Amino acid sequence: MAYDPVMGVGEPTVRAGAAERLLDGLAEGEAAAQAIAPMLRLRLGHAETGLFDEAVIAGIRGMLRDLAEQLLADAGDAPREPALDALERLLSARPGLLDHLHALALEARAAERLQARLRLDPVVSPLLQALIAAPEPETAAAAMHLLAAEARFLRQQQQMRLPVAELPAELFDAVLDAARGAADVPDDAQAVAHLPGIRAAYDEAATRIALADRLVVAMGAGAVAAGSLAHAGVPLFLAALSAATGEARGVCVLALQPGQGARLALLLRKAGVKREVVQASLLLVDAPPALVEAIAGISPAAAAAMLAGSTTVREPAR
Amino acid sequence: MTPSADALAHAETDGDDRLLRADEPLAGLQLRCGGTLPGAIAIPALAALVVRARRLGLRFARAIAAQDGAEAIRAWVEIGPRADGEPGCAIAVRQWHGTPLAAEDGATGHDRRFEIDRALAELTARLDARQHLLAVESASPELAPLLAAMRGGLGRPWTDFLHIRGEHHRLPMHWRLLDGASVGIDGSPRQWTARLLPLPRPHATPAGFELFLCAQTPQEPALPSVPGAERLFGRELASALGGPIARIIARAETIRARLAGPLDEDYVRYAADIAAAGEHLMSLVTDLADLEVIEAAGFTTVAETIDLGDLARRAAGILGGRARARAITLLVPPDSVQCPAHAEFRRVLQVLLNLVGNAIQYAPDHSTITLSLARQGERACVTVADEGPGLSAEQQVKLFTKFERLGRAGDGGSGLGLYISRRLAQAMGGDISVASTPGEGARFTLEIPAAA
Repeated sequence: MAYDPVMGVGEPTVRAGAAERLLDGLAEGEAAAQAIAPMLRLRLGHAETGLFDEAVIAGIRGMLRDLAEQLLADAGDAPREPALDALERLLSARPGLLDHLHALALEARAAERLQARLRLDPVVSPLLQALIAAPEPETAAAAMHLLAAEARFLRQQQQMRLPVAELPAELFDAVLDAARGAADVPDDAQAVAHLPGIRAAYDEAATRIALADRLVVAMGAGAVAAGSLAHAGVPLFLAALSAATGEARGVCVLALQPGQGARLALLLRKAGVKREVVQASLLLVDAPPALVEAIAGISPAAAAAMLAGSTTVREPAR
Repeated sequence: MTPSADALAHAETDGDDRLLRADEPLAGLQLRCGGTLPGAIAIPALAALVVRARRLGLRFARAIAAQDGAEAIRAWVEIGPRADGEPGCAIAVRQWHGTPLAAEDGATGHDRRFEIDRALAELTARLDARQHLLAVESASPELAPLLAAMRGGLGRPWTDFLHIRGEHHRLPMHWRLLDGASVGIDGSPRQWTARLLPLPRPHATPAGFELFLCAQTPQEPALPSVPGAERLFGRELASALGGPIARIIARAETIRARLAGPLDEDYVRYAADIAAAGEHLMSLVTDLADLEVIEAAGFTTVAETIDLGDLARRAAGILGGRARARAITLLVPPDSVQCPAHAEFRRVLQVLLNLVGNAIQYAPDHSTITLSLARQGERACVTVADEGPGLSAEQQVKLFTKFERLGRAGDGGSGLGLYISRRLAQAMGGDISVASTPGEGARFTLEIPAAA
């Protein structure tokens, strides 16, 4: 076999950029290659998990489409579908966005499951009721806002939609940036003319996630009451668990999914939640009895150490 | 949730993310974290958030966690562009919760002390399981002779090369008894502490040790000596610490006396402990200041004409309360007896208070302490005799050494009192001597030049 003299090893004449392109291509392929085995196990049904149910995937697709439609206004003159498809691709390449959408879809499913099986009101938990009746007007108002936001969230999840303004600030900035990138052709300028307005109106404090986080801070030491899933309801439970453990919210959402009982148990113990309360929450998510038993002997420090050894990829903690 | 006036506190930053102004409690936290106002944001979580909010020009709302050494703080902050359109951010604090930081648990604190000792050690050595030297390292010129001796004596017990204080047991000793021991080193004027770290760590029988020698006083920095400029660190320390310590004692006494209301007996005891520790600290600080003064090159005393008899009665009067509390009888010469001398009034009183105070401290309850006067030629003498356990010949030699405690720990002494007293007596042209037989009490005699 004859070597092409231009592409020979060590040849100084390699065209600039070519090597880079090849390395990028290789890296892309690498990611897909690493996903083969876990994806096959999932698709063959050998992995017991609801993490990639059709409904979850459909929800993520729907939210991506909804975001693209909000970001790219209908300019009227050109067919919109190709531009929206292109933007969706750009969005899904933004670090953290798919993780976030996945976590939202899973969170909504967890709330539905608890409602269907245990008749937990997905919107108004006992703790939220107590907060609405709090003597501090700021806390009471935030609690009312959270109630409305949660009701909106669950309805939007059924419709597979997500308002751009509900994203955390970094992701909000990232998707707006992606929209500008998709529309950098001058003809499309009209399609993004509304973006500065959306940007100016953004206030993270009004997002559902921030409202829950803020209420947990407002509860101070009382936030321990949010360690009970049945008492707190999903959004306050997640906010409190994330705050108390320092783990990303997405990791906490994951812990509410079927088959993740061990993670939930350890997170709750790390947060210092009492054993009996941990066990009650575990029963709510159908954790195996052996697990419910096992967690009783684990100290918060031991739980933290076990979690630290977990290789779950975390989104940067908020 | 728009920015509103009902926030707990407001603050503002500029285009370089410096805090321009801030309300309490944010301002206080900024200062306690080591920042200034105006100045760079010293609260790490807030700084990170402000930078992001300014770069993106978006309104952020997040919980931040911080700590200032005493408290862990969780706060809810909302950060957005400034209303006046200038570069920088407006910050609104809406929630603020401080919880006292949990004390370090024992194991962590223990490990940390070792880390500190290791960092401060001026000599480190590896020992085998029998505490014999395997390797030694030191960069201290002061310890160069010890280093050389130890390197020449690898394979021998480390305790062969220095003096373990207060040590009457036969070596080799269990490492737990040697860990923390005070040691003296030939050629070094300083006192040292030995630390032994067993290896490997969990507490099975150690396979070896790390040995650290840490000086109990820091190395004197080699400052260029300026004639006439005496270092009076102790004086400054005493004046700086005097006020706060006095306040600690006064407050603790207030609590102890239940002046602020009824209190559980345990807490009364704690308050008494705090007051006692405060008084010890105060006397230590005063002693250090005195030590520095009397060791300064130009130290002199005033030669007044005094009556040693009067001073003996005064000292006994001042300490009468303490003696009565122990049912100790203080016998003083009658008022009619006078003993004129040349010395500085307050310094002689200071020495007598020290001698009588020591006697009270170490004498048994229900015993008698006798103060007697004598004139021996040109010398006026006052003797404080107690019925305590007495002192061995060896102890009598060591007694006047700086920081010498004769193995007594935790009784509130600094080991400076007698040293200072003797230096004072010598500065006045006199001296202090001791005569004692173990079991028959001790007699401390202060002699100073007599007056006509």
